[in-house]
Amino acid sequence: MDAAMDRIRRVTLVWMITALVLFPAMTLLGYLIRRFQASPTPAAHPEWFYSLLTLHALGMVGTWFVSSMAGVSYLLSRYVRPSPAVSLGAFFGTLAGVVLVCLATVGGFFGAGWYFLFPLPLYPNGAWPAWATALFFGALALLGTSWLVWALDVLRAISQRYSLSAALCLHYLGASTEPEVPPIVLITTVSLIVCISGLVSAVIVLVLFAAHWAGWLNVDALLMKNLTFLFGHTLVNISLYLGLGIVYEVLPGYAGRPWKTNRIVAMAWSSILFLVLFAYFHHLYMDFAQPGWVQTLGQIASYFLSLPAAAVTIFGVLNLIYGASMRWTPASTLFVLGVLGWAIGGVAAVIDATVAVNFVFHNTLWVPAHFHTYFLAGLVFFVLGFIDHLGRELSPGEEPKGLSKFTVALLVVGAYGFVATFYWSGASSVPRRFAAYPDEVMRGAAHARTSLVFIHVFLLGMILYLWMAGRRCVRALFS
Amino acid sequence: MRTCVVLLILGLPMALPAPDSPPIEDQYLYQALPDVPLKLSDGSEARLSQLSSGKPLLVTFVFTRCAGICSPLLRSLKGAAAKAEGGFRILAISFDPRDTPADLSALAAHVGVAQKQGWNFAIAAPADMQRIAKVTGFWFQWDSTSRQYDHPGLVLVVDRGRILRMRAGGTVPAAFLQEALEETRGKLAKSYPLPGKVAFRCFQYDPATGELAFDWGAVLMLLPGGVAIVLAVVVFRRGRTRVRISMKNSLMWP
Amino acid sequence: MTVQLKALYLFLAIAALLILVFALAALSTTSSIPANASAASRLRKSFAILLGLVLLAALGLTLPNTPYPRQADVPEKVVFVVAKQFAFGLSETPITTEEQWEAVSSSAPLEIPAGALVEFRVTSFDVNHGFGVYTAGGRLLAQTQAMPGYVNRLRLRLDRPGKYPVLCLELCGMQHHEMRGAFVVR
Repeated sequence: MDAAMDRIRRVTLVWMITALVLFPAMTLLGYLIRRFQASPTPAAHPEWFYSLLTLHALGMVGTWFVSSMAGVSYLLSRYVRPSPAVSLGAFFGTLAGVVLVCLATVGGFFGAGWYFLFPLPLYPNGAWPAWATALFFGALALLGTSWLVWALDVLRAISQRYSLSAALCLHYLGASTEPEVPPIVLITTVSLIVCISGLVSAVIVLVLFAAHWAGWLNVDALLMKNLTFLFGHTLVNISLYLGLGIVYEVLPGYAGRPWKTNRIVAMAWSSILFLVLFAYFHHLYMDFAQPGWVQTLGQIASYFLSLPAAAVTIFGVLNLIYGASMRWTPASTLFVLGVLGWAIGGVAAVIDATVAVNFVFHNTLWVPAHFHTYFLAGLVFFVLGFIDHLGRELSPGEEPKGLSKFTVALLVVGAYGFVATFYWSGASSVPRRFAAYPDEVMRGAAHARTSLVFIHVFLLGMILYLWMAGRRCVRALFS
Repeated sequence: MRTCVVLLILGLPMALPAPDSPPIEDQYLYQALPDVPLKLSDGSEARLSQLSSGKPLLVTFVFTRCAGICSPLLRSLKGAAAKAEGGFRILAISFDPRDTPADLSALAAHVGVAQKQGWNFAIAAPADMQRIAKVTGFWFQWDSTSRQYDHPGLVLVVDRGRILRMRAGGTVPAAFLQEALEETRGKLAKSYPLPGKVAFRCFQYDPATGELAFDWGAVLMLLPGGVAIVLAVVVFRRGRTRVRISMKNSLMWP
Repeated sequence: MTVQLKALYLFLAIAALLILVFALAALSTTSSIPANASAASRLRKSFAILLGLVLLAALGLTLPNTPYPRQADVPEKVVFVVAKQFAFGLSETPITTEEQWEAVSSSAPLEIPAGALVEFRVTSFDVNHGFGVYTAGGRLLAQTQAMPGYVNRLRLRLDRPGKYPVLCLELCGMQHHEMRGAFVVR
């Protein structure tokens, strides 16, 4: 193993250990949020609820974005050379950003939500000081810049071996299979182009916010909302796609069969590149100011994004494992379970992306229900699976088989039990992001109490997982 | 925009229109017009519901001896109606008890409109005129010095007997009429922006066409996608001098 | 059956189907079946076409059924709604100043006639809020966003008399969960 590869390996381990620390911490915040909602009495300190909610959401989105980026960068280094220095730079940028976000939320009670919908950050109504808003925006600018540079570097690495059309597998559309491009290269290229558009959108939002704050412009709320969701939706969406890139690359090794790019895979991912930029319109269905054709476009794009997902990725995974001599390890189990969770969450998402349904689901707990399904039981499983895979590769040794099975079972039961309480609440009209429930929807408190049980189960699974996989990672880092 | 009227007269009493202020559209929206009997300029009788059935009806209030805004308003309405598409009727109701069908015919001839173009001139009984005034905010007052009625200029767009839109003032812009008629045909704006200086609107509502037109905000919405594509192309062009990297298959496969 | 329940049952049914398919695939790994690329490709093709048709049918069924106002009926009443941290003001006359908003947001709930088509003209004086109309039993009936600078028109016909609470459905600050409004159908 050469020195460059060793650096890539080490920086990946640093990222993964960070994810393993941040994830339980952010889960604990989620626990506290549900504790608030479980209380039948009015919230005594709602400022804590809203600032922890903001930190939990941004923390989770950030954690899974960086860990899927780090995982993909590592796997890509089989084919191309992403710079470990840029990755490390992004790591320190992220770390500093996390510290600033913590200061703004826990220290300054900034509680406008992770996507800080204009103009709420400027109307704290006494809940947080102006410096907390400034700090939050500063943190976002730092995070956004670090991630933008990182994304550009990974694209640069790909560009050293593939042309843009080759990386997007456009030649496969014309039935040519030369040069052969692994799916992870295609997926990463598509995802990072989308990611850059999201980050550019965040930059525009921040600039317009600053201009409005300074009194130079009176900014249009509808434009800001569009840009905010272009940023928020794509960032979340491409984290999942990068996670799938990991699955495409690693799962075939466990199935003992190849999973290659072909015409249909190329078609699927190029259609995603196009469709994903229009899907975010489904966040604005209840803004009647948005023209009707935009809403229709949003529903069509959201619906048809499920076609490549189902016919290529989900079908592809099932086809890969069907009748294969699978090596079932925690990694391969978590990958397959993660694809299942992604699919189930996707179904809930498509249902909610129907304008007529969104009318009674928008901003109810159905929304966190669906995204927790494909995050908690999807992307989290992909990354935990990758960490297990990486740990075993770099630091061999076996745990008792029963213990790993038990751990995975705890994670699955915890995750699905937890999201079930959200679906239950969402279908019974309980609004999301309430620090405490008014009498009409007090049933939300009972659902929240049930969810606490499942958070305990999940956290127990997480502790066992940390003990197994975390130890390997630390051992590998200092070997 | 329709709410301009509202905001321009901020601070005026909202409950009832005081004489000398025109009625405010938002206060009378969707009010049902009373189905009063009318005497038409050709001497025949009709009920208001007959005139408003089947087609949208534009209603305005005039008196034939008016030396003020009545004739200019009717001419403006005529001009706007000529530019507007689609079938609709126009009804000018006289609120002056002195007016006769012959007076109204003379006024129609003076303005240059006829019944077969969809124009109707009619007289309402004073009690009925009061009922109409109540649901429309229209008012009139005899001024003995000028020997004229003091009254606002008002045009109602009536759809299936209810006030869909209303415009106060001495003129009827073609755009207003077009937008209102679009609304009767179901091209309804789900939302409308409030007046105010806002930078970069995404979709500007264009009252002339009833459509939402692109504005600079929409360009800003397309910018992220455009920048991402340009950046990707730039990065990949720089990477043209490709370095061949040997595959390290042994690294990943367990 | 409410839209919410229909959506929930549809979701549970598809989720159960997915779990079943994944379980069958996972169980098949105990017996080694050689990969059959052409059979898989045929199956994928049929599946993609079927799913595409299902999606098109679902679009055709649901897209005409949007909550946006249409000109099918002329509303009988208009209600002006202004959201502001942390209450909804509902009034029969336009609310254009903070003082008017103060007055209507603290007065007795507005009454609207049962069975009448009512148009709510919803806007905000400060940040984004969500105008969510609930039944007294806590079922969400309808919503629209209250966005500063825009007036959204939400049309609603309510037959059942009683009090209808309005909850805020967009995070708007520290008392978001306590922000309310109400009207009475009589």
